[in-house]
Amino acid sequence: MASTVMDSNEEVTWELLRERSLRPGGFGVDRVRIWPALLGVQPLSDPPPYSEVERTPEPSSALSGHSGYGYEDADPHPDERQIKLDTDRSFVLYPIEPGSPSREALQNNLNTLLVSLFRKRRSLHYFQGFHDIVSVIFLTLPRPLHMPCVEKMALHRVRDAMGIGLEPVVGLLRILRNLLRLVDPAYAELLENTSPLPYHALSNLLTLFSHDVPTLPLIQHVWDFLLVREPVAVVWLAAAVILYRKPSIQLLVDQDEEGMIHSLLGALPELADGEPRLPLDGPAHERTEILDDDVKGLFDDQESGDDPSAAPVLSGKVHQELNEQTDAAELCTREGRSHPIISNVYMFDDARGLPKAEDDVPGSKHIMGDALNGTHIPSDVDAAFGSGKIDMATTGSSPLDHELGVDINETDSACRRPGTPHGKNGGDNIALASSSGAVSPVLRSPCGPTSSPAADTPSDTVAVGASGTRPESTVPFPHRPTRSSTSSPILVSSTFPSHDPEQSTTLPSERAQPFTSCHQAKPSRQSKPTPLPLHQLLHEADILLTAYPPSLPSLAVYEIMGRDSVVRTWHAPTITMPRDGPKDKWESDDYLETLVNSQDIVIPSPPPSPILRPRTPSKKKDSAIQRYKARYGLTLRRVGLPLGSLTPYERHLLLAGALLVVGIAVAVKSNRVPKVDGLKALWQRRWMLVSPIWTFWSRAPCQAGDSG
Amino acid sequence: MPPPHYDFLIKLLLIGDSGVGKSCLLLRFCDDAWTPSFITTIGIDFKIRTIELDGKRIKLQIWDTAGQERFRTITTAYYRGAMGILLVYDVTDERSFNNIRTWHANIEQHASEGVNKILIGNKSDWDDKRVVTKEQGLALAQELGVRFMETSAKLNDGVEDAFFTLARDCKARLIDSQADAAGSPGGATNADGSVKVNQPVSQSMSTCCS
Repeated sequence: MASTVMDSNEEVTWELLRERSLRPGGFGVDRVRIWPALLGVQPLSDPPPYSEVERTPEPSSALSGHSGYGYEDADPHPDERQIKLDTDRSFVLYPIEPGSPSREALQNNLNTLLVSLFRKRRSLHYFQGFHDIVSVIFLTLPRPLHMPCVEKMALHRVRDAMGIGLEPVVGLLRILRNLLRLVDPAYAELLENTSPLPYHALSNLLTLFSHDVPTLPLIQHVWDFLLVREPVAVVWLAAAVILYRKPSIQLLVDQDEEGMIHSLLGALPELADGEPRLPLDGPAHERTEILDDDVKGLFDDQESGDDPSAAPVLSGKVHQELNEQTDAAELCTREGRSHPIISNVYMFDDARGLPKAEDDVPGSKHIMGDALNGTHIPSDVDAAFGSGKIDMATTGSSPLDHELGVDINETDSACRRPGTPHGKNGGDNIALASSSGAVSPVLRSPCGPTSSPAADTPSDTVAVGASGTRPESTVPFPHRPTRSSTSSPILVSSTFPSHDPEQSTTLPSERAQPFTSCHQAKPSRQSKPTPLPLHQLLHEADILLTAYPPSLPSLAVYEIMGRDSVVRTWHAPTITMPRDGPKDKWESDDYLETLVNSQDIVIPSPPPSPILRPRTPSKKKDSAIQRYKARYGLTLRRVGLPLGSLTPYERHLLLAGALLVVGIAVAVKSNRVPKVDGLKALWQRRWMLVSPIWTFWSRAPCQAGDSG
Repeated sequence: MPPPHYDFLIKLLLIGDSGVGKSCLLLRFCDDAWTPSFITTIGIDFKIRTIELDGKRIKLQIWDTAGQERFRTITTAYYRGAMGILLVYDVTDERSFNNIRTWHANIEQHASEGVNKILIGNKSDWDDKRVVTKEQGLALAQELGVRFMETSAKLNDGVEDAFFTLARDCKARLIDSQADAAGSPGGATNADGSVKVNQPVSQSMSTCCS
C-alpha cells in the first residue's frame, strides 16, 4: 500500500535504506537524519538539520536550558500517574557513558516529554512499555525532534496499543502464531502446547523491542530495521528470534522442561552488532545477567536446589577456551575478517564443487526463475519451508534447495569450530541439527544445541555439513511462495535487497561471524554464550518477510487487523523531498488520533484459554513421545482431517463460512430467491472471504502428511 | 532425559498494582538480590526456585505480572493455572491497598476454586512514608479470608516466610491430602517415581488451609 504514494526515486531510497538497515551497524550516525524522515517528520536533508548543532544524545544540552516540550500547562492526562511510575524506573540499562547526565535528570525529562505528548494527544492511552519506546527516541535524536517524532511514532506506528485495551496486540500475537505455523508447523505446535499464543513475545511487539534489547546501539539498529519497514514487520522480527531459539527450545523439551519455554523465549538471545563502535555508541552494556538468570533458573533445579549460588566452577581450560573464542569473536566482529577455520569450511565446500556466494548472487534471478518453473518446487509454502526438509536437504540438487540451505551448513560448521564447547554427544547434535534444519530452513540458529565443554573434533563439521545443505549464500533470496498471488508488489520490490557486487564480495567475511558456543542452549553456566550478530538476525527477519509477506492469505493479517489498525493505515512517508499539495488523510495526525478508539482495529478473538494448561505427567509423557516419534517419522500424525491444526474459533469460522456458502449456492441455483444478481454479488464477496480459509485448509493435508 | 530434580511443581502468581514491588519480591526470593532501579514488567514473566519442605523438593514456578490495568486481558489467562496467589500492595500507597479488593475479585473470577492466597504488604521498611498500618492489612486479610504478611524486599524481611507459607499451604492442599487420599506418596507418578502436581485436585479442596 505504501507504493501508492511513492515515485520511483522514493522507492529507490526506501529500498536502499532497507538494505542498509541489514548491514552491521545499521544507519550509524546517519539515523539522526534518517529516522525523522522515516517517521514523516521531515524529509531527508543534507546537511543534517540538527546533528551539527546539537549532537545526540547530547545530555548536557538536552537537559539544560530547556524547560519542556510545550504542553506543561495543559490539563493533566489520566495516565500521568502510571507514566510517572514507569519513568521513575527508566534508563536502568543505559545510557552508561561517562558524562551522561544523572538518571534522575533523564527520567524527569522523559517524563516531561511523555506528559506533553499525552496532554497534546489526549485520546491516546499510555501503556507500560511506551516509555521504553520514547526513551530510545529521547536518547537518539536531538531535542527539537523529540516531540514530533514521538508523536508520529505514537500515531502512525504504535497507535493500536494506545486504545482502551491490549486486544490489538493480541491480534499481533495471533499473526505471529500464524506465521510460525506456516514457517515451521511442528515447532509451532510444540510452542502452542505450552502457550496457545506466543505471549512471551508480548513486550517485543508492544515496545518494538525497546524493552528487551539491552543496549542503546543495539536497539537503534533494531529500529533502523523496523522504521524502514511497515509497522507489522515487528512480528516478523519476533518470529525470527523465536525460530532462532528452536534448538534451545528443543533441548528444554527433551529435558522435560517445557515450563521454561516462556522464560527462555521471554529473553532475547545475547546480541552483538558487527560494526566498530561509533563515537556515539558507548561501550555496550551486555545484559548477561538476564541470560544467566534463565540459565540459573534451570540449573537451580538440577544442581543446587535451594542455593542458587552453588554453581560449578569453570575449569581453567574452559575459561581459556572461552576467552579465546571471545577474542576471536571480537576480532571477527570488529574487523569483519573471516576466521581461518571458517575459511577452511569454505574450502571444504569448494571441494564439493558447490558454488560460492559470489556466484550465487548474480544468479539469483535465474534461480528464482527455475524455482518458479517448478523444478523441485513444492506446491506451496509449507512444503517448501515447513516440513519435508530432510528430503530437500539430502537431495540437495535443486537451486531452490540451495537457496533454502542458506546458513545452515555455514552456521553449523562455524559452531563446531575446534575448541568450541558443545554437546557431549555428537550424534545428538547432528540429529538435532538436521531435524531443526529440516523444519526451519529460513532461519537457523547459528549453533546447535551445545554447551558442555566436551571439545569435539572438527569432524563433526563434516557430519553436520553433510546432513544439511551448503554454506554461503546467506543472501536473502526471493524464495517466495509460488501460491501467493496476492502479494502486494511493493513488498516484493521493496524487501529484496539489491545485491551490488561490492556487497556480495564482502558477504563471506560478513557472514564469517564467530558462532562459537551456543547461546544458552543447554542450560549451562559453563559456556558463556557468544552473541548473535544482530545484522544476521535482521537479515533472517528480512528473508522471512520476503518469503511470507503480510499479504499472504494464510497469515490472515488483514482478517485479524481491522481497517483502522496501523497495519492498514500506515503509509510510507515521503522521505526524499517535501511534498506540496493536500495531504492524504492517512498522513493527518489529527485524523489518526481519532482512530485510536475505533472499534475496527482488531477483529475480536475469543478470550485466550489458560496458559498454564495443566497436564498430568503421564499424559505429558505420551505427548512428548508422540512428538518425538512424529519428528522422526515413526508415526503418522494427524492422518485424519487436518482441522485439528485449527483453533476452535477458526474451526467455527470455517464451518460457518462453509455453511453460508452452501446455503447461498443452493438458493442461487434453485432460483427460488428473488434478486439473484444481488445474491451472486454476495456469493462473490463471500467467496473472497472464504477463499483464504479454503486455501489454508487445502494446505493443511500436505502439512499433516509431511510432518507425519 | 535427566532425572527430575524435584518432587513437586507448584505454580504461584504475583498480582497487585503497578509499582508495589512484585518483581522486587520475586528477585529477592529467587536470586536474593535487590536493586533500587528495577524495570517495568511488561506482560508476564516467571522465575523458578526450588525449596525443601518436609523433606520434599518443591519447585516453585512463580509468575510475575504487569500491574497496569490494561494488561489484565493477558494476565488473567494465567490465573487458572496458579495454585497459590500473592496479592501484593505497597504500605506507602493507599491506592494499591484499596485496589486489593479488585484484585481479589479478579481471582474469584478467573482463578481455580480453592486457590491458596496470601496478602502481602510490601515496603514495610519505609516507615516514614507508610500510610497503611499493619492492622489495616490484617483486617482486610481477615475479611477476605486469606493469610497476611508484611514484607520488605529491600531488607529481605518476611520474603522467605511469605513464599514458604504459601508454598506450604499449597502443598498441604494439593499434595499431602492427595497422598492421603491415594494412599501413596503422590497422585500421578512419573516412571522415575517423582510426582508433579500440575493441576489442582478438586477432591482435595476440603483441606485447603487458607
